[in-house]
Amino acid sequence: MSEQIPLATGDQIQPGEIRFSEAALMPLSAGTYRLSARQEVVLQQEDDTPTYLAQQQFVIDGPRFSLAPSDVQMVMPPSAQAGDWENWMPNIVLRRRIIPWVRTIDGSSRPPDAVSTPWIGLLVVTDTELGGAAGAIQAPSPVVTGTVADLLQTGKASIAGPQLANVSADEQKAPLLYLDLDAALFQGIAPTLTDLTFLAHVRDVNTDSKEILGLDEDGSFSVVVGNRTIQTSGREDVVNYCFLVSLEGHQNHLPGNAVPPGVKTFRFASLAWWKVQALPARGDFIEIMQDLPGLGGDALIGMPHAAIAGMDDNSRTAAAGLGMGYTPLTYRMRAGENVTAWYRGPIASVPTGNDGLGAFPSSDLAIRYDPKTALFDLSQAAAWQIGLLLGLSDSSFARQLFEWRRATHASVRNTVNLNALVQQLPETGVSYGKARAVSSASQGQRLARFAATTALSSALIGEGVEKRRPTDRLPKRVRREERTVEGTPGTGLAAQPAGGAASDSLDNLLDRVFGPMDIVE
Amino acid sequence: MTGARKKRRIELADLMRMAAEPLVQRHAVRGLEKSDVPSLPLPVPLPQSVIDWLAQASLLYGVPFEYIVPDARMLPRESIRFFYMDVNWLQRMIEGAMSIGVSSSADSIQILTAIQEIVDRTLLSTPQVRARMRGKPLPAEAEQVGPITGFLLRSAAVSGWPGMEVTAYAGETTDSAVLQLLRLDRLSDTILIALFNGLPKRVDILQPPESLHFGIRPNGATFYSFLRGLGYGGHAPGLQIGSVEAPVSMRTDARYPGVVDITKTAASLKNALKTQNALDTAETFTSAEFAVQMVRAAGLQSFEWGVAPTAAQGGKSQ
Repeated sequence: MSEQIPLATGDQIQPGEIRFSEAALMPLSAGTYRLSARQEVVLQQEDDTPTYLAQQQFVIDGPRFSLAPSDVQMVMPPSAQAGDWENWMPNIVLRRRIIPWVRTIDGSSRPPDAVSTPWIGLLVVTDTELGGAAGAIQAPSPVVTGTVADLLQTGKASIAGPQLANVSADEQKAPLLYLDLDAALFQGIAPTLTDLTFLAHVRDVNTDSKEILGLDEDGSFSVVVGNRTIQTSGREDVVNYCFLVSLEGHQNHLPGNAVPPGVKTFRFASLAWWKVQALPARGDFIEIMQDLPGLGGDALIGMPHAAIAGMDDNSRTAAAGLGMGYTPLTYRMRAGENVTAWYRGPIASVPTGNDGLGAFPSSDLAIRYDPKTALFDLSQAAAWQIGLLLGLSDSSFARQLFEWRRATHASVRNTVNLNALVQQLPETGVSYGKARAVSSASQGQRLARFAATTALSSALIGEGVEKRRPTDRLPKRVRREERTVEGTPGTGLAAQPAGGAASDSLDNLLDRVFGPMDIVE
Repeated sequence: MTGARKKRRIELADLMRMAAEPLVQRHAVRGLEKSDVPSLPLPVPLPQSVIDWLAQASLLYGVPFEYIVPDARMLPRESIRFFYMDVNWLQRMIEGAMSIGVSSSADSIQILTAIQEIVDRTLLSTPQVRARMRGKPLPAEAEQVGPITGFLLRSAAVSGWPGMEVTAYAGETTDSAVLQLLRLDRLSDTILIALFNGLPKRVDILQPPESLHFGIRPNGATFYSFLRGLGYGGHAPGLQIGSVEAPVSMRTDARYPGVVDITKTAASLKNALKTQNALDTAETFTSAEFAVQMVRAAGLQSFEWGVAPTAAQGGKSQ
């Protein structure tokens, strides 16, 4: 498929539209004309009526052997540029839209309102076909400076120029550039007489000062298209020459006619020429995209696998895992074993829903294990880990996160009150099973619980709940062996009677909060 | 530590986990809506720059390629693979990023209570990442971030045409809503990743547009051209007619390859247009109509869900 081009439909070309027309015809074609006028005067008193004759010769001239550089608007592909021009047909845009129909190719007069065959053609030749030292983009010009006389009377029997009838002596002294092409080469690449009728058209563009399709010119132009694509090779750059030549008088040398005997070369008047460097072809976009289903395929992401036909448990597990986008990989466990584990990246072949598991404090907790199949699933653990590494690698993110965390702790610490804590904590003495049921509390309670548990955590690490700066009073460090059972300093808890084995303050605190725990060995 | 204390510690950790609000189940296809995010403010709001960083990470910026595609066989040469984003993988990654510098359970509790809101806000900020990275004005905050989907393309087309444009549509025609492009990047010379906000029914990949020029399209060793309507017979002017291809004849002289037989090609184009009823009543086919057919505009390739491939259509995906 390709894009739409904005063709004009009505009589007027709207801004942003383009119109192609077959030709732009002049009322009179180029040539010499004689205007004569006859006047009869009727005299009142006399019998004879004298007639008076006046004659005027004038010439309608158009470009014939050369084109002013200002007449060329644009060439495609751009001149002296390297690019991927494979399968492009070059074209040249001329500023005056009548130029291809200004004269006829064989010099005959054109019936009015009939479209004559264009007298100019665009030839594409590679540097090797041109021969000689034409191989580099900096090569000297292949066209030769001369006069019209050199074009018409070449001086050698093997070089044939155009057969033109009415060239005056003055015209013969005019300078031009001419090009010699091998006869066989010309017959191989040039357009035939019928081809030429399709290769020139008129283009009207109304850009409204915007670019459409890369054009920013406004107005009416004539376009001559080449009949040969730019040649590329698979490996190296190929220099292509494009010549806009006058084919007037060469109508008998075009392909389809025999080469005159003894003639090896044809000589043309070169109106414009440029060269392009074609880089090795990278292929056609549409062709590459259309080949995708046949080559790698278009499908959902997943490990390619042979069809799984078995219906036993193992096959079903494998089919389910592979179908969801998992890949079996080797898991080198910390214990030294190598086992198989499933892994799936962030991309899956099935839609996923939130699993509602909440935040994991470490990546190992996110490793999943299915005891029935004895396979691990490391996807989420790997995700957690790579998130951690990404966060660590960006110091500004780490700093902002730390600031936020510190600010939250400070704000919580400043607002919580130990007395209020008692109401918020789960009732002392309640068993573990009941504590689980308090999870669907309101959001305010959620925050309070967060505050409470943060305070609880602070209590666990020995900080006081009163507003106190941390460096105010460092708890005295006591060696574990010498610790008494009075409790650690700073918590304000009364000493517990020793209950047989040495119990530490954490146990004491937990006993206070949750009630005495049943010892399960 | 005795077994009793170990058990108690484990239970305490579980209790701390329960202190966080339970999560509302969200249907995967519906995606996340702004109204789902709880409005309870955190004691200190999370800075927007942290949310922006997390949104960028959740679009897989910075994630090593082996984590995304663990095995090279999953993305062979000249292939395209479509996918859904795993929201749980993203959530774990965000949790990991938030867990740096956790020094005590106080920090863990804080993450537990704030994590769902952080993840929701991150997902709602993903549409702004691309605009921010390109320095363009940010779009308005999204009301809904649907299931994030996308594709990976590994092809010579990526290296040959780096400026490819990708458009995803919610329906099957180009008139339907365009899904927002969350990310379009080349991960390497030949691998392109694209992420969309929503589930597309049609994805168009467009060659970067070039200036108006003429040319033919290759198909192996032969050449063809697409047909363009001229405004007659119900075909819009300038628009390609379906996927009809008209053959282009070349001259057969092996010494001078690439010469188009213009007369035969013009005849075959005229016949093809006549078959499509695209010519006017007088069946004019002059250099102007020929030029319209030979204009080679940018190539476009569509991928549609659930459509069996026709002769020259885009590919099919399950």
